[in-house]
Amino acid sequence: MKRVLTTRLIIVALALLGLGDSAYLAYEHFGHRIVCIGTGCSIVDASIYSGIFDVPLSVLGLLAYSLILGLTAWSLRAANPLSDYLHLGIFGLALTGTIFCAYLTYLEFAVIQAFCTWCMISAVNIAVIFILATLGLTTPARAG
Amino acid sequence: MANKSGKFYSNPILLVVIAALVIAAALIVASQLSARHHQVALNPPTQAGTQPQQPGEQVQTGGTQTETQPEQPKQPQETPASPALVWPPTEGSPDAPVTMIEFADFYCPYCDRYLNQTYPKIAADYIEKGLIRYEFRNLVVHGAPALLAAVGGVCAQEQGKFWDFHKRFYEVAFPAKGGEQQVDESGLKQIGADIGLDPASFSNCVQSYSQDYNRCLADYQSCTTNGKDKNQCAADFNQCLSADELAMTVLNDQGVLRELIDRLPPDEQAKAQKIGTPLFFINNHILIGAQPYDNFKRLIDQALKEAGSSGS
Repeated sequence: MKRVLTTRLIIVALALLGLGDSAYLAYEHFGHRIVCIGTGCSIVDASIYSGIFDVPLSVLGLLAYSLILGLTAWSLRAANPLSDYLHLGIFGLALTGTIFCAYLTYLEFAVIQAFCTWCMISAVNIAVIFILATLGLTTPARAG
Repeated sequence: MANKSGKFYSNPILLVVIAALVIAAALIVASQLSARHHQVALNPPTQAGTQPQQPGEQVQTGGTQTETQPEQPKQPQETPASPALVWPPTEGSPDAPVTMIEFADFYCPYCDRYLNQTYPKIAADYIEKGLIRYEFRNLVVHGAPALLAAVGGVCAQEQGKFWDFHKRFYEVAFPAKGGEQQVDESGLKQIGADIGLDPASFSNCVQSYSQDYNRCLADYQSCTTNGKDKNQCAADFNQCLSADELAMTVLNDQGVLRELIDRLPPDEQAKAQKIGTPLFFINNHILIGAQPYDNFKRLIDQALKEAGSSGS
């Protein structure tokens, strides 16, 4: 039980980190940057892969991390079996995020040929959340 | 309770994994469709020279910029690509008391923002009144596609139509509905046709660069696949590309940028620690970014005052 609690608290912390990271990228995307510096995030953000039909990826990141944060916070308070369902939701979101971030990382290296540190932080972050969520699956919470 | 938990997790996990895979696949497909939507609105598929290939990065680092320090190696002086070429393109009175130089990248959204929101006011208030002589220079920060676009600008200038090309390119690359369109070689030719350039001359000009670029790119690729040092391959790529006069006309502007920064007074030089586009010199002042018009106005008025007091 203690291990489950610790795992979920770490996920909360990582989700907050991801939220901050995505919020910064969204802040930069929506006009608060006024200069193209030409390295890393500037090139990635100006590329045709920086959004899906004009929805910036940073906004998708904000959405995903908000959901993970919400579900994790809720699962900390909820009793089984709801807590287990919530954890499964976190696992699903993290798996989706990890696969999509792997694809985006491939694009950065192979297609855009530019490296954005903030994007990489998010990619590693979601992968760690996924690992933790997977570990949580093998030892599900048994509240009550 | 433990059994109940185990039962609960057996099938739902599989369902969640499948759902996650489907959603991730949908996102990847949507991303590809979105990119294609942004890329092909103008043109058919791309050619190697217009892709953001790795050497596109090398093109930048060879003389740029980008990495925030102005004092990077290389590139000298003015080398017009052809006798017909007058570079840089200028507008306004040659006797104007203030010279304003814009350094821009054709794929920089902030250059587009400046062009649409601020430049018209500067043109109306100063350039058209003979107070500013305006000059354009390239600062390629977005790799190979931006270098190709800049070369397109040089080719248009050979026919004296740089400003038309400049305006039309940003209209195409940053459509009013939002997003960004990547313009490949055939897209450039379409822009050339839109602004009334002689198609054969413009096409030959762009193609001569593309052929050189592709040859250098092929050399670079064989260099890296042969396991040679990547930095050496990149240096060879730069060396190879330096034989192309059009590319060098573009990249030489970075040398001009460094010279201009060196000539600034110390307090202005301090502002140039982190450079990017759009970047402006207004006589002895530097201004970086798509700042509000009032910031430009303040600096231009100050430069006019200084020019007036110095009698120039």
